[in-house]
Amino acid sequence: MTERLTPLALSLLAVAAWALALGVLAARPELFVAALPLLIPLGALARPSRAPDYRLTHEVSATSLFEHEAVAVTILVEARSSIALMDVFEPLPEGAALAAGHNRAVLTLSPGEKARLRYELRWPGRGVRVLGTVHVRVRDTWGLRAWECSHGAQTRVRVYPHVASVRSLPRPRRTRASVGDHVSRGLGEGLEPGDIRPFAPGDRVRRVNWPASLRRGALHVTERQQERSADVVLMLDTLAEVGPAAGTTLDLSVRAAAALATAYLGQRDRVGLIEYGGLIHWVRPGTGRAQYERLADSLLRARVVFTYVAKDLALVPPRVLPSQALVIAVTPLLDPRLAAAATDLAGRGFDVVVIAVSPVAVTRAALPRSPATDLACRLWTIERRAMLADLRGRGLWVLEWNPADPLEQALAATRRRRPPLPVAG
Amino acid sequence: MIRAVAALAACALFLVPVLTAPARVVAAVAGAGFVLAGAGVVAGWPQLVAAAAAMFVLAYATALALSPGGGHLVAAAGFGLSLLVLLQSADLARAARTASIGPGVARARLGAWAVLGGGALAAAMLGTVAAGGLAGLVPHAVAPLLTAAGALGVVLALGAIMIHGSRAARAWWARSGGA
Repeated sequence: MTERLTPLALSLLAVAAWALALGVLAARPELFVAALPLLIPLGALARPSRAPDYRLTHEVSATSLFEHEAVAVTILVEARSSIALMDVFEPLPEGAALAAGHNRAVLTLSPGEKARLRYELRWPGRGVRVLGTVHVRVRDTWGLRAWECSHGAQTRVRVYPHVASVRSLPRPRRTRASVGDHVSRGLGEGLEPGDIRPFAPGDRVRRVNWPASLRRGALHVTERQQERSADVVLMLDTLAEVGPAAGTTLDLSVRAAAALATAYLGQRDRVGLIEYGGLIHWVRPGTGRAQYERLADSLLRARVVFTYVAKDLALVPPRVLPSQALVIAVTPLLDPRLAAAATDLAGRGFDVVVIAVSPVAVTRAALPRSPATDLACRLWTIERRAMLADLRGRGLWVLEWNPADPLEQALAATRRRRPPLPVAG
Repeated sequence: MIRAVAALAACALFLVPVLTAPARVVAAVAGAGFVLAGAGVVAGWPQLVAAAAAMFVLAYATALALSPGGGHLVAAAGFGLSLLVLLQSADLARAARTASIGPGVARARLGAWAVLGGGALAAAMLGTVAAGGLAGLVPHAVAPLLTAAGALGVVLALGAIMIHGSRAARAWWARSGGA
């Protein structure tokens, strides 16, 4: 805690000295009397004063939340000595917006009295934020002496990307052996009818298809398609981004990846993640709540790391990128290296879907409106259209997502039949 | 609320000199002080408020010089208290900007100012009585010099107290293990 005289003390002294000087010059005792209320508090500075004694606690209502959710911060001050004037201030963390209340309070407390400062914060963007640095300034009765102190009980708040609900998901071409929600080509236990064949000893009576049996004059049974789970690997493009803070193409890609991960995990699929950028990070495919936590933790830290070096996905171990996995690349396609990597994966036999996050609308929203901007954006749109057509020609299934529309709208195309795989040669 | 207190103090500081001597020059100087005070409080700039206080003191001194009769001690004490209230409330308004104000703050401030006003008035009364008694003992030729020396001594003493108090507090904190 540091103690100092406030600028108010110097102001009082200057004005009092000015009044005394004019009093001497004008030879009027009234100016000496007028200076008295200023001189008395200054004279009180001669008396040594003890520093204030108080206890401060800092609480946060939640340490994990989603984007745009509010977190309540409570600062509790308990005075152990008399506090004439206390200024409590907690600076807003990076990117935070005040949702309710004030992050600053001015208090007067008597010994044993408690005061509570409560306010709510909201973050429009994901990330790990640090809260808890509270600055306190206590002044004496006349505001001439101040004690300043910073309390640093740091609390980390994780702001996870907003998860949109999606129902249409790209279906994997290949499935795993374990049970899941995807209808596989193999016949066995399941719900979807697959084929009808003559009854064989050992078949259960409940599987007899009576209409077919009556038509053919012999018992026939319905065979059902197996329902299997799949491996899904989300490939996040962290090579480049455009757009305003908390609304960049990377933030949009992260939200899309979080929505896809949640939806696939809900179908009991194994979901993994590869951040493809200057540094390659990955999360091994897995299932369940714990896997969601791992993916969300990785997604909230995702950031662009620029590099001139083209990263080879062959470095990624097979257990992270299984050969039967459905790879969904979420990318604004700003850097051609991601398109090259996706093409390379498709060439190696991976089932690849590209969700192209359009950077045009994001960039246009961030720029002032002008004919030049409109023309540039139109040219960029045409150029991107040609690039997407080229990727489709290389056998990639490309879904274009305009961030102004819901992700579900872009994924609705997955309800249609998938384009056939290109034939080699 | 705090800004309203500052505005009231500024009004009082404008009115006291103008009512003491209703001259154009007094009104002009006090008006300039009023404008400066308003700008300082609104902008949260304490230097402007200190300059405004100095203008008000100048206006009051001019009014006293222009008025033939003697001024009123209660008015002078009220003027001084208004100066303190203006400076303190402007400082508090700056600190409380974008802040929530605790329930006891305004009450504590008003109580402190009332106590100080009473104390200042009592000190003025005592000082006047004491000065009346001493006036006969001091030769007329020496009185202005003595007054000037006394005023200078008070200012220097307060400056020394401020410097010493600040050092002593730091030393006390260092002894008690404070940062």
